[in-house]
Amino acid sequence: MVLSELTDAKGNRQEIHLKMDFLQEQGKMAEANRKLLDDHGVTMIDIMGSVGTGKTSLVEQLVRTLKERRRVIVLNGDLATTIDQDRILRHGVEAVQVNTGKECHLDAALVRSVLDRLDLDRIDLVLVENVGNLICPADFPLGSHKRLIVVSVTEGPYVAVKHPHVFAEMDYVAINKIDLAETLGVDVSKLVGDLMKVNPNVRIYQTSCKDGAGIPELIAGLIGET
Amino acid sequence: MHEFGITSRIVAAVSRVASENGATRVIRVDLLIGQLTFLSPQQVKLAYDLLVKGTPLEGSELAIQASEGLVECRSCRHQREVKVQLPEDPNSFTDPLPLFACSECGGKVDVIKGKECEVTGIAIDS
Repeated sequence: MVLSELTDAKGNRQEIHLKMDFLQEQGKMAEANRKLLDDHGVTMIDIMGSVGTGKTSLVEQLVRTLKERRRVIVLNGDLATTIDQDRILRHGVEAVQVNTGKECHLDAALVRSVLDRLDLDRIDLVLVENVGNLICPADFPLGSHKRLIVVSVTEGPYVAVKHPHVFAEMDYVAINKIDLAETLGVDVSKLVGDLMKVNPNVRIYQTSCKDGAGIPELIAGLIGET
Repeated sequence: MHEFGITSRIVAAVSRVASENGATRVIRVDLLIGQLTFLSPQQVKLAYDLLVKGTPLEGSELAIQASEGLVECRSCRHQREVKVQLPEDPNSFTDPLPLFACSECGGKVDVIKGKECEVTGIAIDS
C-alpha cells in the first residue's frame, strides 16, 4: 500500500490519491507463503470444489497412499466443526482444522497462521482442503504450487461452463463419483470437453472414492512431478 | 460473506490513512472493482455502510468504478478486452467459454486487467 501523493489541499478539504489494492495484497501474501514453502522444500496443493463433491473422501484416499511416501499434513477449511480433521486423523496423518467462521474461503493469511506454527523441515507435502465453494476461492490464492478442483457427476454436466473463472486457473480436475455417472445419465465427455475449452492446459482425472478408480493416476499426476 | 471481509480491511486501511493525515472525517472513498473479480459492488456497499458506523468514515460516499477485463494469450500474445455485463442483467455471462480461451488460437489466456479491488483515492476534512 503506497500513499503516492497528496494533492488539492483546499482549506480543510483534502483529496488524497492512493493506490491500495486489496486483492493484490492477497496475491502478495500468497507469494510470501510460496517462498516460505520453497525455502523448506515443501509442496502445497490447494483442493477446491463445491459442497459435497467428495473433497474430504478424496483427501482420505490420497493420504492413505501418500503417508507411506511423504511426510504429509492436511489443512481442513470449513466454516465450523472439526468433522473433516477427525476423518483425516483416523488415518494416522496430522491434520489442522481451519475454521473461517463466516468467510466462504480460506485466504493466504489464514494459511500462513497455520504454516507459522508448523515445523516445515519435518513436512514434505501440505494438502489444503478449501471451504466447499466454487466461487469465492478463485479470488484468494493461497500460495499453493498446484490447484485441484474436485467436481462430481452428481452436480450434472454444466459445472465448468457455469464457473469458468475458477476452472480457468486450475492445474487439475478430478471428476469424482464417476461410478455413478451411468446411473445418473451424466455425459462425462461433455464435461471433459467443456473443461478443455475453459482451460486447454488442465489435467483431468476420473475418480471414484468408492472403488478407488483413478486414484493412483491422480496421485501420479499430482505428486509424480514434484 | 466474501465482501464483508475485504470491505472491513478497506475500512481499516482508509481509517488509518485518514488518521495519519489528521482527518476529522472522511467524505468520499474511490474504489475500483475489476469485473473479473467475484466482488459484487452492491454487497461491498452494503458491508461498507454497516462497517463505517462509529468510525470517521461514517456518512462518507463510497464511489465505486468498474474496470473492464483484459486478457492475453500465453501462446500468441493476442490481447482482448473482456466485457462483463453488470449483474443488473441476470442473463449476462451466458456463454463464458470464449472468455478464457484465446479467440485467435484457442490457447490459454492470462488476466491482465479486471482483477482489481483498489482504493484509488479519498477525500477528507481535516
